[in-house]
Amino acid sequence: MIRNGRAKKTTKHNFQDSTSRILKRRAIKSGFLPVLLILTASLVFGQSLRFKDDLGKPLTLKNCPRRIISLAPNVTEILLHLGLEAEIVGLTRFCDFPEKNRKIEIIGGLIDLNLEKIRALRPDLIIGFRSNPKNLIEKMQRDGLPVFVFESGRSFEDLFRLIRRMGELTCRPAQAKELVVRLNWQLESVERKLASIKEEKKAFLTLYGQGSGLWTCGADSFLSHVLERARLKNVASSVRGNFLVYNREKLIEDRPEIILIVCQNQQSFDQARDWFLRQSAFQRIPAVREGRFYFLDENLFSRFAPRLIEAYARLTAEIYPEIFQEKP
Amino acid sequence: MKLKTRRRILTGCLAVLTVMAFLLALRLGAVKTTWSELFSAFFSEGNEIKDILLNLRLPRALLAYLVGASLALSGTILQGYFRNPLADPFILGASSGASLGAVLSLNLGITFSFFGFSTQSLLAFLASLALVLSVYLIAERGRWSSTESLLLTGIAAGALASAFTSLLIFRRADAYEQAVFWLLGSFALADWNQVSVIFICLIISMSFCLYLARDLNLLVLGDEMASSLGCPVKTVRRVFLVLATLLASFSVSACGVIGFVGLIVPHAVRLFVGPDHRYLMIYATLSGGLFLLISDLIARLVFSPAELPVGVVTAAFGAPFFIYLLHRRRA
Repeated sequence: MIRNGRAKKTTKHNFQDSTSRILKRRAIKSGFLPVLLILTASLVFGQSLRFKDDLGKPLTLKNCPRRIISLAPNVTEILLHLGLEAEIVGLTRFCDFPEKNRKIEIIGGLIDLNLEKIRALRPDLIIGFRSNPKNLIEKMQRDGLPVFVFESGRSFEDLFRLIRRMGELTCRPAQAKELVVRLNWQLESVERKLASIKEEKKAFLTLYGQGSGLWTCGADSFLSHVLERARLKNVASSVRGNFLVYNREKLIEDRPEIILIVCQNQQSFDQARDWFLRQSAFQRIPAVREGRFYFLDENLFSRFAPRLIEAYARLTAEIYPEIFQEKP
Repeated sequence: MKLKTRRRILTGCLAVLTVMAFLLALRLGAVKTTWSELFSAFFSEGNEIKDILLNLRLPRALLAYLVGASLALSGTILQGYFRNPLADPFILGASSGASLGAVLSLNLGITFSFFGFSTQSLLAFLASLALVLSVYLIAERGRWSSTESLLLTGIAAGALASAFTSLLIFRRADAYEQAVFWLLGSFALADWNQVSVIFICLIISMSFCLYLARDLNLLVLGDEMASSLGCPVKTVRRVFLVLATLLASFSVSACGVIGFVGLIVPHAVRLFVGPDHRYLMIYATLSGGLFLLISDLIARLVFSPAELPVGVVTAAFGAPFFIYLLHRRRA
């Protein structure tokens, strides 16, 4: 998808030289001028890189971006990992990792991007993610702002691709590669340990607590992918879609062996667990009977960012303590 | 056809359909079960199917029925009260208040529980009552006739509360899906606690309503006419307002905002049995229950095992049916 612009070098012509003048005249006569023009043009625009984003919109960058605006927290996290802290001039109010950076201008939330502020920051690159509204992105593109949107991504491999592409976009391919290698090494070391696990456990993942229903993640979500890679069978993966409300009687039939609760803190985890334990209809579910509940930190598990690998490592270490304790 | 004959037909239809709907609601679900399985599970020591039947399907069917009945009754009362065909249980802001309470609980992240009710239901209930109460108090001081003032204040206060709800949803984008799901109503977490509360509320309201039905008939003629015919207008109005509000607030706090039931069921029933509230209230209550029971059955079967908010179903199936009824009547 990414095509590197060809940087062609032309030999320098000394036009003051009379011989070259003759040569030039000949060149015009023999139709060399168009070629010369192309060569000059490619010298001028030689450094520009042409990209195409996930919405199919082209983007040309003349230089390495110096003023980047991030429109999503996971984008900010990746940019920071690539060492671009000085280049980020704007971010959303949800960009809070590793800490809320007070010095950088906030350009709004995920949905309520302030176009005026974005314009005033004179960005040379704006990176959006799938959570940003399409109509705002299109408006920015129409206005000639350098927007690039990442749309795809569910698996760890998609995450790595996202990081590498972001590295190319921001002239940090080496750092991106290094990060991917490190994450991949971390991922593989976990997976190598998991290789000894023969049978997949059935797991049910639930989000938000129980305000309006039994929220879970369907087959299309990256959380479902994390479960798969942790050698767990997501019982809700029969349903397509991202986040959905699961039917309680189906859960009884599914008989999950473990229940993963994604929530903000230990206190809400305790409450959610107690809720499960209280439901008289759930008493025959193996996970409820044996009390196999696991707490997943919402902050760690909700973003498609490098931290997802750490989340994965922590999850597997908690579920399979026997495997991870063997080796020091 | 005489009204009496019509009422008999409707009674028969309702009885048959309600029994059928309840049986289907117990039989159908995300987990496939057969009659014999259900029957043997009911008498067996205890197994998964018995759990599903007695702790999930039965309370859910009952709750859907009771909430539908409550909303339809509340709608009937308010349509008579305001003499306005557009009135529904939520016209005084009960739903907007409840939504604000529920979304607030999502935003605050505080959790406590009381008799097994979630923070969300409790906050929704309290906010709903508080909003309607303040609407009433403000409207009482108005210069206009009290019903008009009440209606308009209710609409304005509802809009204000909705604005705050939107603001809160918007400030926490990650809870968006959850909030919207609640706002469209669902019985996904129905349990026996909720059933018992709504049941008690409905029984009490129903007995008051039947006792005062004649007075509501008089109110429809206008306050002056009603008081000259010996109706204690002010007291009767207050009682009806309290009943309609309680019914709406309890329903909303149990399962979110389920629109449309309280608006069209009274109208549809009125087309059959006429405007006499003595009958209208009974039939509207029974039909509202049946309507929501069927809607919930559809909501949980269409994309099973994923669930649909029931408000989507009530509007999607109820609206065309209602338009058909109106049209048929005119032709």
